[in-house]
Amino acid sequence: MKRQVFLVAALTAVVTAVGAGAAEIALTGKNTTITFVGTKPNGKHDGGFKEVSGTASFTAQDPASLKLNVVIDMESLFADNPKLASHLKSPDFFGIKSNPKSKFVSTKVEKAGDGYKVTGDLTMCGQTKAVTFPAQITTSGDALTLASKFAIDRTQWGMTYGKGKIDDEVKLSVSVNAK
Amino acid sequence: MPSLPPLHLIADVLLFAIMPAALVTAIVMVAVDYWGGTKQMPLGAALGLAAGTGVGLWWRGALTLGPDSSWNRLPWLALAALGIGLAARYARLPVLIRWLVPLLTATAVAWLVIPLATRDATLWLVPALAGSILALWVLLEHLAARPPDGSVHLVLAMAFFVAGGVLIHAGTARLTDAAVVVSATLAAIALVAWVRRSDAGGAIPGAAVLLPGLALMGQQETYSDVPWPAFALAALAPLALACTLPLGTWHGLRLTILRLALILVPLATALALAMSTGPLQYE
Repeated sequence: MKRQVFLVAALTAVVTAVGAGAAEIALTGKNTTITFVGTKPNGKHDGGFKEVSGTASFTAQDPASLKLNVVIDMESLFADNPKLASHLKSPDFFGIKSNPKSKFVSTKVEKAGDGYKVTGDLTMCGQTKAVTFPAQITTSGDALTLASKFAIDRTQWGMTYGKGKIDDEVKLSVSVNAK
Repeated sequence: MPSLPPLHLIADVLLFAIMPAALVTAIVMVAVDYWGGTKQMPLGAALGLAAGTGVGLWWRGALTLGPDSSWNRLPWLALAALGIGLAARYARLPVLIRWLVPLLTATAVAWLVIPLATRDATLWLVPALAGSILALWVLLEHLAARPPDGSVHLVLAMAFFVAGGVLIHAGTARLTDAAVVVSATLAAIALVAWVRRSDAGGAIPGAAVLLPGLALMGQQETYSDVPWPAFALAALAPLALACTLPLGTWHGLRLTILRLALILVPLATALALAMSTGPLQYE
């Protein structure tokens, strides 16, 4: 009997200790920045998305435990030129009227050298593809910082307009500074 | 005075949109005429429109929206309309059935192509699109044979070209490419019909679906200040040819000039409305 009570108490202590390190924070346009740069032979244009929502859950001091679920409101797309922003929202690129949201759900975060490698499913233009990108991640208490720069091939998500005149590769920058 | 696009963009559209579409259309029509005679010109025109548009759209990668978009059905529904129109023409149907065929086809096209959420939010869009397709189909197929000189197809080619101008101001080069490709095929059909003095009305049902369909797609799917009347005027301008219905004895250059003049005002207005939103930016 005494042994059973001791075991239950020990289990409870372990669960409490584990639970105390877990955190879930809301991602918003205020603590999460997503920007992009598109290039072509004679220039480049940049822009981003202002409205972001979702959650990041993790265990303190263990960035590899990070789980991201991010939804981007595509109507919040902005660019360095208002007419370019309209063009990007049109069926030539994102086709926002038909695809008003894009989504990223992480499936794995693993240590890689000095940083981490984040793998997840990115859904844009109604198509979902797996992406992997490097990131610097720190988690402490209920605070998360994440910084990443990587590139994607837009044609994989059906954005084939301007192939040969506009580069397929688009550089993305993501940063999270949340608590 | 608005600035013209850079030369390399004009050359790109000429070489990789207009010429392939027009050439394929003309070759198909001439082949059908060679093997079947002028009596088969309706078939030749339908096949020419399908082949020229298909090649042009494929080459430019136009008219392919996201995988779930119902707008992707538009070119296939235009193809179906071509087939249905030909079948109705050759079947020698009773008058009532001959009216029912385009009515039911136009209704089905409008229902299938407009996205479900849009249909639910704007109930009048389906009957508006169906009515536009029906009116264009019935009127222009009737006039295409009276006389069979390709002038109706020339009018349609101009309407598609101006629709392309409206669409580029609305901010979508992809849909502009689609409109320009169809304009080129219709210009080729007009030329062959004029040379052979034959009824190329077999192409009308497909064009009747594509013109208002493209205009509506552009108005619904883009973010721009181009007012909706610009899209509507470009799509419905050919209906001005109804004014020539009483002129049964007119023919030749006089009738062609009148038909072109009738659509000039609505098309010019459509373009002016589109251009009022500001100059295009090419870089």
